[in-house]
Amino acid sequence: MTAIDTPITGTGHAEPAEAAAEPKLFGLIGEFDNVDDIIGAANAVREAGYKKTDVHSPFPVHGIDDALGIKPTVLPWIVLAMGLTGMTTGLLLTTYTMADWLPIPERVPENFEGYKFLISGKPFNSLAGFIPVIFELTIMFSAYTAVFAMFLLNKLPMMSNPLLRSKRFRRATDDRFFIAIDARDAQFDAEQSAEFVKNLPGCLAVEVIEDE
Amino acid sequence: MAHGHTTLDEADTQAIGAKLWPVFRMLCVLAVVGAVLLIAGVAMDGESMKRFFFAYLIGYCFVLGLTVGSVALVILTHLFRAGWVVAVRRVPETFAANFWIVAIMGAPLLLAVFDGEGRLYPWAMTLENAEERLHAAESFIHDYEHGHHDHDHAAAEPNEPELYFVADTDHEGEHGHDKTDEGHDDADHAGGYEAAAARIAGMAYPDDKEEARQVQSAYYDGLLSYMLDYKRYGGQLDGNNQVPIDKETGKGKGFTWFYPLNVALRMVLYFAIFSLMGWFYWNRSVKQDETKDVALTTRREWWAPASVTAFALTTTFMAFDILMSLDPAWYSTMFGVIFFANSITAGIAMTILVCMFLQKKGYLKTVNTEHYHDLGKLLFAFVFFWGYVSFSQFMLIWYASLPETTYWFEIHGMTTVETAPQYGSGWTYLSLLLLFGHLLVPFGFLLSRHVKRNLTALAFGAVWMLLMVYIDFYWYAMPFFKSPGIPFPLAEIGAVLLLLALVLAAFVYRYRQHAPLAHGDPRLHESTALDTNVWAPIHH
Repeated sequence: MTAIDTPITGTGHAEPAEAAAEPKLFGLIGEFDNVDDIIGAANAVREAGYKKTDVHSPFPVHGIDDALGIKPTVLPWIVLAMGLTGMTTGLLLTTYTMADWLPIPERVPENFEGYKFLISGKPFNSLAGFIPVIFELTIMFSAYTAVFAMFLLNKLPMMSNPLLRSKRFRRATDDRFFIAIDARDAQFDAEQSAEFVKNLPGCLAVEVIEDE
Repeated sequence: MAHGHTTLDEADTQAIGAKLWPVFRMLCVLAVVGAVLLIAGVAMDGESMKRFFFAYLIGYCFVLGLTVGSVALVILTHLFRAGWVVAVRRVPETFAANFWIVAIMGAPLLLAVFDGEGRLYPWAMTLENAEERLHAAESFIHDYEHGHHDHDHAAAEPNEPELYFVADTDHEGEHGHDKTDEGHDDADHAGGYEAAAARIAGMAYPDDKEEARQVQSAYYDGLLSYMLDYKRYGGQLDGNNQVPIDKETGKGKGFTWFYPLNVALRMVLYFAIFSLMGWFYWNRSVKQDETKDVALTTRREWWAPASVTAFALTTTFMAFDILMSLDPAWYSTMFGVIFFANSITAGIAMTILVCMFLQKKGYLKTVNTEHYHDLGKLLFAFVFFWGYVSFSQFMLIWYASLPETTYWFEIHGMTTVETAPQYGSGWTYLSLLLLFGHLLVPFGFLLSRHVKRNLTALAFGAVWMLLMVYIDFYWYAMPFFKSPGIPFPLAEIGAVLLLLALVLAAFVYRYRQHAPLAHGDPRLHESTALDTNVWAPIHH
């Protein structure tokens, strides 16, 4: 959803009265107080066909990915690709800087041809000496990619989340487990979905959260 | 349903008893087969005793590493208060508890230490044998250098035999008499083993490979014999380059690090420390099966930091004494770390394989893919750790380019000197096999989680890594056998089969006396909670 689709309040447009009375929904949360119930709820929600779901818990819950049907993340492949890029960069950097066999075109100015440092009497093409540089660049590319790609994939930094307006939800950092269904889910219907979650075993409460 | 509570199978909480006897018997048969192969391989070799010692030492380092690695796995997981490991911990615990048996299995090596011949460890030679070798080497080199080569200075000093391997103080600065290469003058004048090493590093080999090997061997003998005196008597040579001998006792003065008895006593100390640690962690864990006493866990964890410290020092010095001293002139402070890396790789790989075997036999029902995944991660980590420290050792020595350390790599085939006897030999290919087989290929193989969670693939990786650990020990030790090429490894295969079968038989013998699972451990639920099937089906 783009920002343009969002109704902007306070503009000169005359909005229909119903739109103001029925604000946009963010989703709903269902509250549980133990791991087994939240796992059961996640299974039930997945089996009911909901896709845009999430679980909020005070600590990592083993098996929750399978219960929610979360697909394996693409992050390792991104990290692998960037690690290989780092390795290639390191190899090219060291070889270009030091080695004397690279075919450098004549019109490249002399200053950009690489230095051919004589270090410790070693040959210019000393792969053993290049490996620390190649290794470090591989690590650096992979590590930074892992962190920042994780941010991007998680849509971080997110300055606020509508869920946090719910007082009940604050216990997600303490002793409660919440299952959340996003309003953008194709199957989402405020009343039916709330009823469905409410009837799950162990559900203590259901709250529908409004967007903005 | 309270979370994390699984009912334990009865087979996992009671002593196995007689059910593993067939396995035990099969291992004993394998040990006999190994012994026969060892005897056959040794008998076929011209230097039988020397070959026996080398084959036995390499096989012994492998089972020793395996056991040391099990000790490491146990104390490290206690140090970190790891909960996940509890389901599989009885396996490395039992290997660790058998350390005293492994220690006794090292007894044949004592013969190599005390017989005075120095077949295995050059420092174990008696002074007479050492002097004989020193003089033989010196006269060989004298003949070689004055007979085969014309050079400028030889004519200027006729009939003056030179002692290359003793401190050359008299001649300092008189003549730049470097026979082989330019640029080694400094090392030359320093005298002693630096000079000898410089000659090896900078020597011009004859074209014939066999002759080159003899020349190298002579230089090398001189180097070792000098170091023998140097190290055994604390390097306190008197003005006449003689080792000061106490007139009354007839023994050398000074600190005698490589005096055979001192080495043997040190080995006893190392093995005592390891055996004590191995026994302690196993014993307290077995006790806990009955008492379920949490204090036993806290006690073990309290001792873990001290154990790790003792472990690190003991492993380092043990590696120096048992393996690095095959060449007492060469030194690498990384050596103990590499020994540890190999050890824990073997320990983890063996834990994986034994757990799989026991599960096939119907034990360890709580162990699941999550545990194998975790063990696989550790295996992967130490594959790279080995590569990291091994490469560091090579690169620092290569970069510093000190002759007294670089010649070691030449002997192991890692050299660019084309005339060197080992250049392009089997040792070179073995070094490359280690680079690819011990590091690059398993790194790529074990990188993926799908491989680590696929039990067949993980078992293959574990067997492969055990093989590579063995080959690494082989690569460290066997070049000092100084045969022209890599000898047919019948004796080595026999020795490792014998020792591995014995260690596994001892494992089975001890393991069957107690419950297969450390079911009294207070962290057991953490480990069984790794079983996500409790909550949700996993589709593998």
